[in-house]
Amino acid sequence: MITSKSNHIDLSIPQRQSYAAILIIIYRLSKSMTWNLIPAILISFVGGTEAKLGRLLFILLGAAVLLSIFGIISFYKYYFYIKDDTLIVRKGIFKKIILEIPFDRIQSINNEQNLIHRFFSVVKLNVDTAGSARDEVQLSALKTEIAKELRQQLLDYKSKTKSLSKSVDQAEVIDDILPEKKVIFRLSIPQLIRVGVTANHLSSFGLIVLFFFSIYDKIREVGLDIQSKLEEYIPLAEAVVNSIFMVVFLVILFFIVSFILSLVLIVLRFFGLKMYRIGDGFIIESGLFNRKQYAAKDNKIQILSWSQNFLERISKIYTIVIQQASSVQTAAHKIAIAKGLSYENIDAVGEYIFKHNYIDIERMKWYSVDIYYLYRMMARFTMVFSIPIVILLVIGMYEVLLLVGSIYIILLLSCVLRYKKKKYGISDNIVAIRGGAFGHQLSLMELHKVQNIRLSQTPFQRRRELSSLSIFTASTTMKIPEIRTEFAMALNDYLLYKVESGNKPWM
Amino acid sequence: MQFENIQIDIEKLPSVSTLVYQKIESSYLKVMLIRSTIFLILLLTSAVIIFITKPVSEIPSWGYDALLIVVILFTALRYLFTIKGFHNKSYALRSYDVIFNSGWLWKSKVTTPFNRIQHVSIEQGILERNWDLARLKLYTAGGSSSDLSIPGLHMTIAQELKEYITKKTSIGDNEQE
Repeated sequence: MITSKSNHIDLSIPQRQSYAAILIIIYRLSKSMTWNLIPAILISFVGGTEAKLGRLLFILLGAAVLLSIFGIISFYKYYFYIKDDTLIVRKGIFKKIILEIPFDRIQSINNEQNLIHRFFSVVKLNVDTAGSARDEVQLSALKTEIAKELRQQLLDYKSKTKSLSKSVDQAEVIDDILPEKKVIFRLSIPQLIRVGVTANHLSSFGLIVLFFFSIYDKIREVGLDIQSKLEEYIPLAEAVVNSIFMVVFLVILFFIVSFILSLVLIVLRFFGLKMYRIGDGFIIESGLFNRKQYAAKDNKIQILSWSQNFLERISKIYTIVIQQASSVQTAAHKIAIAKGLSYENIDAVGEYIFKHNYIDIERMKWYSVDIYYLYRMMARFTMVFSIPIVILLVIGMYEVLLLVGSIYIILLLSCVLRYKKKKYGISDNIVAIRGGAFGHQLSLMELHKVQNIRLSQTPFQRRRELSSLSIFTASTTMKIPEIRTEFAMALNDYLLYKVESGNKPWM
Repeated sequence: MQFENIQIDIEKLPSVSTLVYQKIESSYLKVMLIRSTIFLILLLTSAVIIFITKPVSEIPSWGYDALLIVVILFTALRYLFTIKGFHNKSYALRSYDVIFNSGWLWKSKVTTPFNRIQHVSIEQGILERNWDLARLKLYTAGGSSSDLSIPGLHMTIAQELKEYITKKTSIGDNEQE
């Protein structure tokens, strides 16, 4: 393989992004504007006169022109270059802003390519620093060669200083230029459909409800009296509710809509999902229109977990979540998710991350939590449900009571399952927590990734001599609830011993 | 690298349960009480004003009674928790970590190993300055909810602790404060 050293790209001269950036800036601005205009557009269609419609069009046209001008100016005012191992960005229309990002502080560089990017063969570059979100840089459209050169320079710098720096702040760049790319997992179209079918449809159900509420809110904000409009339909609604057939039909329709929605969302997000091993890290990329690439280096990975919901369990596929160390502000970027993996795929990932410690899973000793965990969960649901149930009983709405009551009973049942599945395991190198109600879940963490530990006890726990243990890591917290105080103490001491006696870095 | 796998006798591990914990300065109770009092005076006066004026006529008068009772109860509980909780605030230093106990009914014991500390700082509020007290904060990468913070230390002790911990964490050369 020939390295791209011979390129005639000089990054030390201030330069603009690719011209495609203008389009992308305008696209981004108009997207955010469209969302805010939805109610206005709806109104003009539902109850607008022609005069109103005309005015709206005029406003839209004006806004479009303004946006384009804004986009073009901000493009011409945006420069970037490299000087003394520092990435410098100059921008701003009214106020001049200069961002200087030393290579030391760059944590990672991520590529992103949506449909427009691919059409012009440019990439979006997210430069992630350790600091706050404010001084993070997004180059919205760069020619692929320039992006590569930028990465290469950063990579050269990192490998040059690697021997000098003291490992703590070592940033990583996992790059396409590196050799030996090994595909771990690739999602084919039939598999993608399977992932879509087994998605959590309840969450898209919630999404639909949320969507209607936000639309309703926005329309009300604009000042349209939706109440009176709706009242016109009341006789129709009554007729519908009175016929059992129609109710059943509506319920089924709602289920179908949420099913299709989650299917579409999954396809959009996980189309062409590819997970591969490169150097000592992973790259996960996916997406139909908006292709996202996510890089995770082994030493920055804190927690590996995989799970199966009820449907995934039936079709024997897994969802995997990789959590990296992160500052709080950028936490969302640091969680990588891949769906549709087989158990062999998971094993492969686990072996890469935990190396020879991975065998610990088979040797792991598993412990249950105390039954008080079950009582506590049940008591919580009972507290939440008791008030509505009593009210419904008093006012005599027995049909609704039946519905609420059965939800309550299902939740209690799920508590029992949750209690039975809650297990935690400990070995020489790994701590693991199992969970799930109708599905399964397992999280794994190496003991030297522990940051600090909290042992806590509520007054209810004290009577039973129980405690809870929270293990903090640089990503999320692992919690072991309701175990015998004596044992919690021992576990606490053991974890501390492991962290303090070894000098393995957590990152 | 040599592979090692020595068996560990769990019983012989140093335990956090048998330590002698150092209480924080008793003058810090005054700081806590004054802080609570300022907050509660504000709360109580607004509750009393609402009780007297009864601004919303739709609410029955027993509603206002209940509000006042709840606020008074809250005040009493707040004092109880402050005083009881204070006596449980204690810390201990070992050669490899710091441990801090707190809470009265809801107890917690947080341990932070030195080799995970990223940054140490000392803070002092206006009230604390009066008694020459300070708060020692230990930051790890575990997020703000897990940062260890020991209040009610004498300024000199806080500085000594900071120096000791900074040396232990071997981040001393990067430390500016």
